[in-house]
Amino acid sequence: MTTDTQTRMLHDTIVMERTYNASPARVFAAWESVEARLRWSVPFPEAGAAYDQAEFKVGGLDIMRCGHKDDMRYLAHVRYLEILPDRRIVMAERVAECGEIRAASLITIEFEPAGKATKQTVTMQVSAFDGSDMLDGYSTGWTAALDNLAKEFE
Amino acid sequence: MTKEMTSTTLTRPHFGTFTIERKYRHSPTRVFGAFEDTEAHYRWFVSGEGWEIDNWKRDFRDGGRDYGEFRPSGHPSTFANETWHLEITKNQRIVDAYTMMMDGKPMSHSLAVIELFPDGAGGCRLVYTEQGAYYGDEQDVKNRKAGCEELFGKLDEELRKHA
Repeated sequence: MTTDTQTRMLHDTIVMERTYNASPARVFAAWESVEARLRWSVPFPEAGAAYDQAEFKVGGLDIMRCGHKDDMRYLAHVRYLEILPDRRIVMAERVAECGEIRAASLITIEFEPAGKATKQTVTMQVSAFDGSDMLDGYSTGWTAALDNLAKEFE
Repeated sequence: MTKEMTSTTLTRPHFGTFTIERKYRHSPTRVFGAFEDTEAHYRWFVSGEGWEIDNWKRDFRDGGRDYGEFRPSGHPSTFANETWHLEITKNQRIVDAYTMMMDGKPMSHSLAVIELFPDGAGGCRLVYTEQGAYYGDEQDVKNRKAGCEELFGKLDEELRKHA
């Protein structure tokens, strides 16, 4: 972790690897489909998410609200920078809480065949604004979401 | 699958982070102005000796997109820079995501954060942090840092010449 006390930001890289019992095409499809994403990306039973806009294409923008079901205080803008079907997705995300920007990140998702399964590597390069709790938020939220994703293939 | 696809589009990225810090004698407002003003920005950031520039478009606002194609004179390849402005706080901060392409294929994707702080008597300290995914070789991060340092040198020249 890079902590520069002279700046107001924290920069970190978080890597999460999972192996899923499905082909790269099926795992990719679970990212492509908004309906599937709404199932697996919500990290906790009491959490909620809703899309105001979804454009899964290079240059496209998703606008998503999330948080507690009764208080979806986070607004995420996701811009797709690169999409290689069944291989890779690269996106830039900004997250605001109640109108204030909290974090920006570059997220690279790679899919590799591993026998009949798929090894998925998610690399999150995160810049957190005004404190570090967004780094914890990324770790906790994505750990739960990527565990949920396994259930899509059971 | 062609050999070319294997070597370019299917290469796994490697990831890197670097920071550059620069001090300018000019105020944060003045330094921010050199990013905000389209003509000033073109002078120090876009144009360069020995480069032909095509299709340059600028939209400097939250959610806005800059795009330009450039070719070293006599070089067969066309390079492009596509920048999305994720967040702009006037006189303080610019958060961008940008992709560099060669002949339409991504060479790198980066999150780039520029922070401006008051420094000394009327000066400005600029902190640039890039977190990137690079598709070239192990020299990519070093080369990118060198390229950015050159640009921040050109910014200094811009500030001195255009008071």
